[in-house]
Amino acid sequence: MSRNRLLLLAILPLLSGCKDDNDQPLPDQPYEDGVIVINGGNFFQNNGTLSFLKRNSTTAQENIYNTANGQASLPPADGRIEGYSEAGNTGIILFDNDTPGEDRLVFVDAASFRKKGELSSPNVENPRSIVVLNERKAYISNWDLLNEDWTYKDGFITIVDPQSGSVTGKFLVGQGPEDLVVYQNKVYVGRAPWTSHELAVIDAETDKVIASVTFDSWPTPIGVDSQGKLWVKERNYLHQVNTGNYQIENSIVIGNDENRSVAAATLTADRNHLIFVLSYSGEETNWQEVGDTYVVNVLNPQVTSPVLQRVFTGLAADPVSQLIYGGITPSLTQAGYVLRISPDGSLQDSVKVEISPEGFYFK
Amino acid sequence: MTALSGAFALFTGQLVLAQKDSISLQEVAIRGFSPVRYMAGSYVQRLDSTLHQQYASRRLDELLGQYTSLAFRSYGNGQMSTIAFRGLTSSHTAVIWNGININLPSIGQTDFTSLNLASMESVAIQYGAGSSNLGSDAIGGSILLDNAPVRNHGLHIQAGGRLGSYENHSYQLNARYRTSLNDQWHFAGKTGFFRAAYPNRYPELTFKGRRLESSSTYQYSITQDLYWEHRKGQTLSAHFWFNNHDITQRPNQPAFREFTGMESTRALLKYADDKWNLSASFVRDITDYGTGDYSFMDRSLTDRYGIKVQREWMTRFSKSSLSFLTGLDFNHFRAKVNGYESPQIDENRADLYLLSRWQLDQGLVISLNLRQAINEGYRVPFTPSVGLDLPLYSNSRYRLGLSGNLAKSYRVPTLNERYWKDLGNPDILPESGMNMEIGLYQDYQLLKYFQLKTRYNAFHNLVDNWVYWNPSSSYRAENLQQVLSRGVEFHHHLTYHRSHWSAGITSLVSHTRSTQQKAYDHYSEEILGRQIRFVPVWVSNLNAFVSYRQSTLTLQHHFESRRYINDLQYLPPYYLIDLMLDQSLRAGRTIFSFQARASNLTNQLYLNVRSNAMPGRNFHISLFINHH
Repeated sequence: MSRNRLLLLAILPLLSGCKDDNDQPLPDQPYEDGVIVINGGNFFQNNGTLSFLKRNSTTAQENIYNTANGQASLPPADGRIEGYSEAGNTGIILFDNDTPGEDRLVFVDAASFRKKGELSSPNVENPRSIVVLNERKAYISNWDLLNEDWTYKDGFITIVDPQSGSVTGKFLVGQGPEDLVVYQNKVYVGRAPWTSHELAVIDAETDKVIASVTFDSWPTPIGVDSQGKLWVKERNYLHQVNTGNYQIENSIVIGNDENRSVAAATLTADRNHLIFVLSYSGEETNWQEVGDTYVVNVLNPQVTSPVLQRVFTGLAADPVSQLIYGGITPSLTQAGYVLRISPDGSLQDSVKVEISPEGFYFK
Repeated sequence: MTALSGAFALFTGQLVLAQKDSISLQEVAIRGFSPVRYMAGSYVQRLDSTLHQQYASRRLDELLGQYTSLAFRSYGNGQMSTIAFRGLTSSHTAVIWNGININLPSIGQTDFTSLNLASMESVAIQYGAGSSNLGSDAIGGSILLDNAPVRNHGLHIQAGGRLGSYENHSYQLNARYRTSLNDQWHFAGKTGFFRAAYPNRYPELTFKGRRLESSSTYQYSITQDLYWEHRKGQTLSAHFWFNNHDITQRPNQPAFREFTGMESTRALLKYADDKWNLSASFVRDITDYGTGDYSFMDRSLTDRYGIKVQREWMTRFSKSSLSFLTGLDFNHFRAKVNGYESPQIDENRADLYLLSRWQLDQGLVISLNLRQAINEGYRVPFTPSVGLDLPLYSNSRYRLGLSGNLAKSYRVPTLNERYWKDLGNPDILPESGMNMEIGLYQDYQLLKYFQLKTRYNAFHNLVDNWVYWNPSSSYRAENLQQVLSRGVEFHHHLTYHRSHWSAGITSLVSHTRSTQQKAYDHYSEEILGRQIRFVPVWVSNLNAFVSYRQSTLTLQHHFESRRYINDLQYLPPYYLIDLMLDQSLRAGRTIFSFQARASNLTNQLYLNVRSNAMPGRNFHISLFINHH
């Protein structure tokens, strides 16, 4: 290194110290406004990624977490991504690593995606879903480690403070806790296949299970509609649950083929419609998921003909554009696609993303 | 010649003239009763005894990764390492020990970290399809491991050990012996023990920001070979090779640890004379897998009982000779695997083959080989091959030759592919390949002290009915792909000898494109033409040494271009530089050999197939004592 360069390096901090920070505009933060696509990745490859998609763009920015943290040239290796959400200026990523004990909950700056901190075992063990209650509180559902014979232990909820990046509590919630839905400070906990048939209801003030709703198999909460009814999918049924007394008010059977089940599902942004996939995989389909996508009105839930003859690995409604975002996964070793769909089910456009787009976060 | 190589020459009884050829680049004229002799047009690379000695305490994948054009898929330091031969996967390489395929019948492949150099006397690599001669799996190529008796009478002892970074170490003791029983019969043998440990006690949990996976590997093997040789050529031999290989991931975390234990017992009884070659073999492979407190272990046990009968005829004409070798290879497989549909699976496989070799005037060799496997439950493709070696020009200082080979090949389904509960497919078809290759070899004597050997190969290998554990159908085994692998290999070897000095440079460069050719649904059209996973397009090895009397300094360079994990993500390209110093000292009939080695000298970050970091710069020393 020449003497001149050494001198320049030596005085650079002094020069920058002379500037008035208030005069400097904040640099553009790359991921402030748009859609985060959660690409789960393949099983046993730990290669889940996050893509960033601007609403007016048909090109996604790939692998933004690795890129923001100096690993752009290396393949992702943190785990499958099971969830992403934000609390204030903090993003929370759930990494499920195939190596036991290596699962992570990572806190990032939500605008730059630079890592701020992380939590690991035993606070995070097979993390499945995240729901943010406020800027200082979020729930993460965890299966815990599976038993030696691959059966499930009682899973737990980890309570975290996203601002400090710390764990503030942890409590058991029964086998296979999966998807979480929050409504009026109550959190509804769904179940993984082949586990509990109980939809747990947690009071987010006291962090206690206050009720449970029993189904014929494992339930998955979808969301609460404009009428305050919680929609729950279970095999080829859609149920409406009263969020006041936790009773099942209405159960709708979708089709007469018991081998099919409701897969990806979401409420539209106005919460007046439900859009969902009814699908099946078996020997006849060469074990590929096949099926159709339907839309029903929550006020008059009659299932008619499908609006799209295809399946999605994830569905979510953008509260800004009102569009439905659907993830397409051709296989777990190649690029996926995001289809943007109007609330009535008509296709708008598609964007190539990464492996297995399964979820979305709108910001 | 260094004392080190001299010791090994004495030890093995082989005639090693000097440290001149670290590697043989030409077609190997394999003597004796061997199907490889009938592989005219194939490139067979034999790794010589000096290398064998230099890598005496190391794993086979380390040697092959540096001195051939093969690529390996490592899962971590001392963990599983599988082969990618000419752009294909690990189940497309036949690993043959004394004539027996030792790939695990359950998964159809071999973990090369479980194979150590101390357990064998000869390693050869046959590039390209070899099914007509060697049977199933020989689609991309074959690794030939053989034992051989010491030729010099007396007792030969080799003892030594290696100590390296992260407390990794190994030690071994080999005794080889030979004596006359009477004026007709000789008795020879080898008794060997090898132990290696990779506790991998890294000082940090990460290397350059990437996770270093915590793992430990402990391995030991016992070899016992016995030979009774008649002076008229009849040989009766018995071979036994026991190998135990335990890998534990996260050994210091009892709740999260993961154990894979592999145990292989291989026994072989052989009789050979100038016409007949008869053998009976037994191979048992046991794999145990467990996690946490190991209260529940998954076990896979496979037995293989084999009988092989071969008969050879040779007719000499005035300026040519014609040889035929015909054989029957019968194997019975018995599997008890927790994950299979049935508690016990039995399967019979038989191969019939006729090999021919016609050696004409001035070195022209033509071979025509035919093989038909007859297996229970499915039809195996007929696999003929034809090849030739054609000397084009030679004089006292220069030799130029051309080789060509056209061969069908096959791989029978593994037991897992057929019988695994829900995911296996009993109706799955064998894979079949068609390999074409051409090679050009030259041998120059330059000036007085230099010798240059070159070998250039080009190949085109199309594999159909490729078995694929399809992630889109919950990882079920399906015949879904057709893969084309094509490429070129450039091997150069320049040596210099003068008085007590010798030096050499070996350059091995390969370019391999391996791509899926047929789509099975409309989305898979996107991946047509994309490089197959974990197969680098470029592999380059450079080995340079300079030697004076009993001292040798060796510099090694290894480069691999990017390796795709899937259609989007890849492991970045990397290069490694190693430096080795070998020093020998003779004291009477004992030779002391010392080696110091620095690996990954430039402290590069490079990744294993799980995208975790491999170790940075690390050091090893070893000491061997050879006594005769």
